[in-house]
Amino acid sequence: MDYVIEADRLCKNYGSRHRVLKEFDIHVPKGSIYGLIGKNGAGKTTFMRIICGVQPLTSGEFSLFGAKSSDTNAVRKARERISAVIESPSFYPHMSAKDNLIQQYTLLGIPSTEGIDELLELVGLLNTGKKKVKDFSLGMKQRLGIAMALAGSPDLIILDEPMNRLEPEGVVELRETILRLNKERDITFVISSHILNELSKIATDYGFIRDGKLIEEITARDLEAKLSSSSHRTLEDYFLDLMNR
Amino acid sequence: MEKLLRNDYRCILKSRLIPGILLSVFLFLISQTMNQKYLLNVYAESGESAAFKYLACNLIDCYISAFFIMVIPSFVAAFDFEAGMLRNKLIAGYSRTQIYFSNLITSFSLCLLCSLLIFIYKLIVYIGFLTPEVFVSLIRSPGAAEIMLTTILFDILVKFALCSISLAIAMIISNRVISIFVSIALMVSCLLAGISFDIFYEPAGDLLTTIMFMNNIFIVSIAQAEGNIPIQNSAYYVGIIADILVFTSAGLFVFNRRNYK
Repeated sequence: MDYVIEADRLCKNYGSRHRVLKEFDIHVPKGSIYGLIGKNGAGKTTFMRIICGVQPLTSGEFSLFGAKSSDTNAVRKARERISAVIESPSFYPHMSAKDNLIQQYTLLGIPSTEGIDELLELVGLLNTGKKKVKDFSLGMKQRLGIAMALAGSPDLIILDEPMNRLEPEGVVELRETILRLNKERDITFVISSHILNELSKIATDYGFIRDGKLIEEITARDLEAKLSSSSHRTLEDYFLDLMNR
Repeated sequence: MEKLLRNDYRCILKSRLIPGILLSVFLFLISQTMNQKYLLNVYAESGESAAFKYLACNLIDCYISAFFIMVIPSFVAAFDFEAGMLRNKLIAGYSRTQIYFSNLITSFSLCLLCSLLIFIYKLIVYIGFLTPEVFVSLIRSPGAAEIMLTTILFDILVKFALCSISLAIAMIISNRVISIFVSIALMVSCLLAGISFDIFYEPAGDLLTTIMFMNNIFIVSIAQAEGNIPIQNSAYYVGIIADILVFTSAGLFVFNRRNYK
């Protein structure tokens, strides 16, 4: 099987005492929608930040599209194929949604800005005109962050709690967008979310994190089989049981 | 790198930074105009060569624009830190070193713009105050071209040094308000130290000044403006280049190792 991300004994420490990731292993299959599940502070965001190059790792190794983290130039090149919304979306508050997307296109070196209106329509922000992003609602900002992540047709999109702050219609739209992009453009997604019910509707693979360690990786199909043959009824039940073990 | 620079320049053009700089420079220069007239008359009376030396040094202003130069990099860096765009740039595959140098080049470009505005304004004021005939005779005075070129080269180096110091502070502190405060406090304290040094240890052309990282910039710029320092002295260039290297390396070192949000 082809893996987009593979991590081997990844460790991240803050100072000498605080260990956020402890020998973290993960395997994200190509073309999957990988749901990363864990309590707050389990290490989900730290893992995402390391993959994106926002934070350096302490020890261990990961590979991104086959490029090893020890090969700095290769992994930086591989990062050109990914995009992410981690914690809160990043954009220039003094610019409009369209101007922010033009900035993102410039950053990615995309000469034509033709696809921008399509992206804005996809996330429902086409009619925002010259309204500055600082005047957007939280949901609108989240949707703009997703539009920016989609710029440049990445092969892997990392979304950290993307459903937070979204209204119910926004959650449904986001779910449909993710499924469509995954199916039509073969984009791999890594999504962390606390809304397990929603995640279970889209994820093809799951990884459960506890205290900085990945304690289980399972496909959605295998999990379904497990759930039907056990007393667990939902993904939430399964997650709570894993965390309490 | 080119894509990063285009991104940074576009961001600044869309912000209120350039109108803010224009307004601040304009207000500052208006307040300086009468003072300039008085000084020009004093120097013009002291003879052509001395007048031109003053004119060259003061036209290519060093220490008036220092205030702007110490503040601008904090605003430029703030776009990355406050909006979280640093994260976007890193995810897009840029190295921290590239991001740092892109900020340095962008900041320095704005500083040069600021200096150019001051230069144009002063040129207009000087021609107006001195009358075009006197101004042309000053420009044609012996050694004028050499003095002007040396002053420009020296000034660009000084401004780049100030810019690299201020950017290092902004990148290390990563908070606009605090870094502006620290930069201004540093500039004022060094300026005071420079003036004190200039007063107590005349002449200011002493080699000792070159080993004082920050102070030598201000001592030289003050002394240069007063026309009492030979800026052809290579030791000053070495001192200023050392400032640039030390502060850029320090800023880059911290920026490459820190965890940013």
